[in-house]
Amino acid sequence: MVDDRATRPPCPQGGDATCQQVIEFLDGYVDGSIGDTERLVFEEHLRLCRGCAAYLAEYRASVAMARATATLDARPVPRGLVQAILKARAEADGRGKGLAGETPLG
Amino acid sequence: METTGPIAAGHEPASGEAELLRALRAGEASAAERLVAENIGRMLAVSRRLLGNEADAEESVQEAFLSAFKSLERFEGGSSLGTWLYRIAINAALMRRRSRGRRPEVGIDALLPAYEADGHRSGARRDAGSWASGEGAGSGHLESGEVRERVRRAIDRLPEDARTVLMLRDIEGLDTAATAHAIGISESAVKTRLHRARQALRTLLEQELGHG
Repeated sequence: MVDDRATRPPCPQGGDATCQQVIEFLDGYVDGSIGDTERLVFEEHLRLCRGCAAYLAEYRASVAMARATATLDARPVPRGLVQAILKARAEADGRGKGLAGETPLG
Repeated sequence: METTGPIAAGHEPASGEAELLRALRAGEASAAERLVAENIGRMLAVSRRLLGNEADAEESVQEAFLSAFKSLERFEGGSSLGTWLYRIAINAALMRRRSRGRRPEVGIDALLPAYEADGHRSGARRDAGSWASGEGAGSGHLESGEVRERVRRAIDRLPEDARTVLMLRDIEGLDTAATAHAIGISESAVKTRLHRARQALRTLLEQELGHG
């Protein structure tokens, strides 16, 4: 199929769906949960409407970019935090000595 | 604090995990240390994401572990220990955030597209440009630390309800059912909030990365 989105006018007739209908149900199209008939209507509109085709690309890019931020939180565990948690556990249990023959917590 | 949730069904703990669980219930300190060491990374990451600052995240994770240790007898094995702890961490972070109260925020409607009477999107670009096309959407964009920071700033500007659903679904990868259970809303509400959150994020990213 020739991609003529750059030259055609922006959505003079969006097929059987308006831009509002497409955008408001875009999540179903993106996650594949809409039926085949609806999918065909969506794809016809996206073929005709440059604005909605761009919106879909931006919607998908937004999701991908959000996912990519996950690495920002994967920083090292602060030194001592594990032991601080274990100490708090021991204090909560009211135990200050070793358990089951284990080495006492520092 | 919840001890189980709609996560993995029919999970049979591996023999290693069954032994760890036995040792934990027997009060063996080395088992507790192993549990914390093996799970703290993931729990801390999600807490940082939900709470936005390191001090709150560390305290929340500590609360989550203490709650988990108290609840070990009630752990039914419906999921792995790691998944169970992860859910407890999410709950602890959400509870801590609720206790902080809401900060002033822009309503999400201001970030959603508006439409003309004929169903066209108001202000839709008439030229071929999009910040998501061509070089803008390439892998180089996603790999840039600076871009990720800017995207994180955009996410932080989302209203809290929208930000929470987006974080849990799109960043943490929880499914709809698990997200609904974590937040305490219906699956239908999760889907609606997520779609609105994504649309709002798109608007914010257009301002941050595009032409506005």
